[in-house]
Amino acid sequence: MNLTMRRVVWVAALVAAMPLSGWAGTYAGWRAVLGEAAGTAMAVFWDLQVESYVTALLLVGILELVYGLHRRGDGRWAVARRGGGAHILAYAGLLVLVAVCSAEGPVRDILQLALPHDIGASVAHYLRRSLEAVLTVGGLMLFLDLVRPGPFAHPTPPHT
Amino acid sequence: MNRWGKRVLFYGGTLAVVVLMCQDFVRRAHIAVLGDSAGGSLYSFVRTNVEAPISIIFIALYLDLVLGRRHASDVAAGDGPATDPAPAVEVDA
Repeated sequence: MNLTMRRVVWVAALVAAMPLSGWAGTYAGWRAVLGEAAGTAMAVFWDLQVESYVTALLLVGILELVYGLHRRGDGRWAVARRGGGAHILAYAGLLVLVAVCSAEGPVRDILQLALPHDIGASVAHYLRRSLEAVLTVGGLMLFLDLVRPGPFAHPTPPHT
Repeated sequence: MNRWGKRVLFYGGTLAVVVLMCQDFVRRAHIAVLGDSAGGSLYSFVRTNVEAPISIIFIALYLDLVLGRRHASDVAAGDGPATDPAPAVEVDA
């Protein structure tokens, strides 16, 4: 499997997990397999993992597209940072997400113009719950940009 | 320890943390040590942060299965940073 297919599978699995984990059929499936109490607990557990799904999707996108994380020939991790434009774009995107995720009421009203009311309310609430993930990834990006290893930190001199 | 052993330790350990965080005996242990109020409160804090190890597992899987197989030639070929890439910097020994 090539890199693109690996990306597609991973992203598709997480994106599918977001709506499926809250789907009534998933709840029924867990209950059928594990019984009423344990099945419900397991279904609720995965349904509540909003921040996990969103954090993972946002963070790996930024690590890959902005910081160019990859593996060197000798197996060590390396980065190849993009230029300032990509960083500004990423921060701007995160700020937009913060605004959208914070405004549950207005977003719900807009979504309900086009979607059934329960789905619009559900998506808006999901976005609001994602705010924690957006702030986490934004904070991590700030750290990576502001606190860099010093010029003499790498490579580590060999011990003699 | 070889790389597979380290993976089993990492993923297994992180999953074990998730399972532990959800166990009632952990809640009871918090309460036994810190009392009803502080122990219950601390356990609630711990339990609501179960997203952290789950996120770690998802992200580690991506690093393991995708970025761990992405080499400088993939980056140079436009698979990712293509404009103004700074020299690669070693970030892990």
